[in-house]
Amino acid sequence: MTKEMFTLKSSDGFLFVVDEAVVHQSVTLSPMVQDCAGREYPINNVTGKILNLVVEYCKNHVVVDGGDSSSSSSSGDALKKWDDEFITQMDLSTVYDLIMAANYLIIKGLFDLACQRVADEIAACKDHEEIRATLGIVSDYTAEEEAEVLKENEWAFD
Amino acid sequence: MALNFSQRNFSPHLSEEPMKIANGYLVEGVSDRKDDVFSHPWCSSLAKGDSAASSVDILDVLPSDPFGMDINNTFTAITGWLQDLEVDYGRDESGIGDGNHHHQLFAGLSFIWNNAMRFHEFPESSNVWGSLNGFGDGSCHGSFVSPGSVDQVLDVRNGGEVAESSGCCTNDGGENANVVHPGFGFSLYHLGVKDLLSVSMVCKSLHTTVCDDSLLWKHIHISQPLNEKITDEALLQLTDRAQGTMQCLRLVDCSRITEDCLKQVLERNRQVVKLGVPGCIRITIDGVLSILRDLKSAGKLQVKHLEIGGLFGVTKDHYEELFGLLNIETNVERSIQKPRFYHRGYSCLSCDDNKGIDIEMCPKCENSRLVYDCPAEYCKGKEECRACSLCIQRCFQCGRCINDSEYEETFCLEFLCADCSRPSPELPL
Repeated sequence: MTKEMFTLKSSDGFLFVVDEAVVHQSVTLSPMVQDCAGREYPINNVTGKILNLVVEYCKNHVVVDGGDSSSSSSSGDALKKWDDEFITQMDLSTVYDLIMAANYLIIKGLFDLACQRVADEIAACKDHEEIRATLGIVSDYTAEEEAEVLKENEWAFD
Repeated sequence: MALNFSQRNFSPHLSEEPMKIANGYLVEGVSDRKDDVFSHPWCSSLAKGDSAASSVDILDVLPSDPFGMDINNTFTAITGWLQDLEVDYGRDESGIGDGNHHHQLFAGLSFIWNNAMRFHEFPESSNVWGSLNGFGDGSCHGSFVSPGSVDQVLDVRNGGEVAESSGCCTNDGGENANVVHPGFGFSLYHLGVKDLLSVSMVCKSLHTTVCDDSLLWKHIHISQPLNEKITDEALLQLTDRAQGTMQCLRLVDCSRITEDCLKQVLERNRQVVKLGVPGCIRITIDGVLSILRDLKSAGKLQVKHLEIGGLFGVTKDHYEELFGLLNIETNVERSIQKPRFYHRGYSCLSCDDNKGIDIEMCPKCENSRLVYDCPAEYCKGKEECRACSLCIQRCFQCGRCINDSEYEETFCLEFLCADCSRPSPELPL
């Protein structure tokens, strides 16, 4: 059976040819299966670099037709391992863009994966100063304001 | 947690329209309403908001784009779009959604809007869209973006890509120093309470976000390491941030929390559906029943799921009264419920568990306690191996029964089965 292919066009003009199974992973794009076969579908909010990552994620998460989802805890583990490597290799600014793309395209697994990466990054920081350094944020508190905020939360951090 | 997205139906004609990149990032699909979106003066949108905003002539108070970010067009577009969506999807003031994605979109957008407005210190701006907060079922997401990053994110019209930075912020060195990527805002919903508090101390805008976004506090789960530190005052402060919309509260081994505090929390948050107080030693079963009775008699009891495993002295009468108060059917099919396994003394069930009450009548001793299933292959499905931890001793690590098999008793007087007590093999160098 020949698969139908669809062409996605990023905001900066890159084209990605993908099959139906990939398109179906995006709730936003699923309806285009009926309407856009053979035509380019522009995704105006996502650059080529990020769309490439999205497509790579979706290709790896295609559920094999006729596959038994309960049979393969080992392939579930392998997929999880792939996900971990996939998301860890990126810098945070790419992860933020990926979050926005997954949000727009409505790909829940990718959205959760990317958000969790950021959350893990924050959780790994030992205090708010390390969070500032990790996220590149400059504190705009005065000394008094900072003391006040620290006092407000001192019960949690003694 | 779910996405912040719109459930608009896909219209094929959208692909043929000219790209509205300037507003396309957030207003995709409304270009057919461009006249409404772009022609609304910004001040008229305020006039339609809450009455608190309508008495001030906003035009006199507004700064005229001090940072040269073409803010008026951006705000006009976003304001108009929010209004249009509000008309399309309506409002659910109850605050308890059914997971409807429309509400999630609103929640997210209101979050953006409140923080954008706050960044520019517009007077009374926080009241205008405040009524949009509190949507959804707690799995909503929002993001936040300062006006600077709105333009940054949206500004592909000039052919520029969003500037990359090593972190989530860019710093233009101006008054609004921290321009935070909207993607970062979504991640806040994946943080635990302690991390949220840390983030709130990072900078002013994040402090405002953490304190004012009620969606972040819809599900509150306090366990290690905050459980031993959280006081009544701190719990009240945290739960107040939900602004009455909290739906799930789980306090695990919170030894300082009193019944009075729990009562105040539930009176201020009457939409709580799931409540858990396992191991909270200052809370008694009588206290819990008293609180639930008072709420029920006031017609305000929404709790459907209760976790009280570890509370001492629960009698059959208490148990039956709880069933009555929570309107739980006593003949629920066990086969549809998830098994509970013993692990390090804690019940291995999450906030997603659908059992009405976590404790049940132990088949062996008929006391109302936590009843565990057995994960061992040879016991699966066997009713004889379902009992409380006093009736059937279990491995502290994996939860299997160790009645007749080899086991080791640890220093803490817990039991380990033969498999779990075996030392792990050394890794080759």
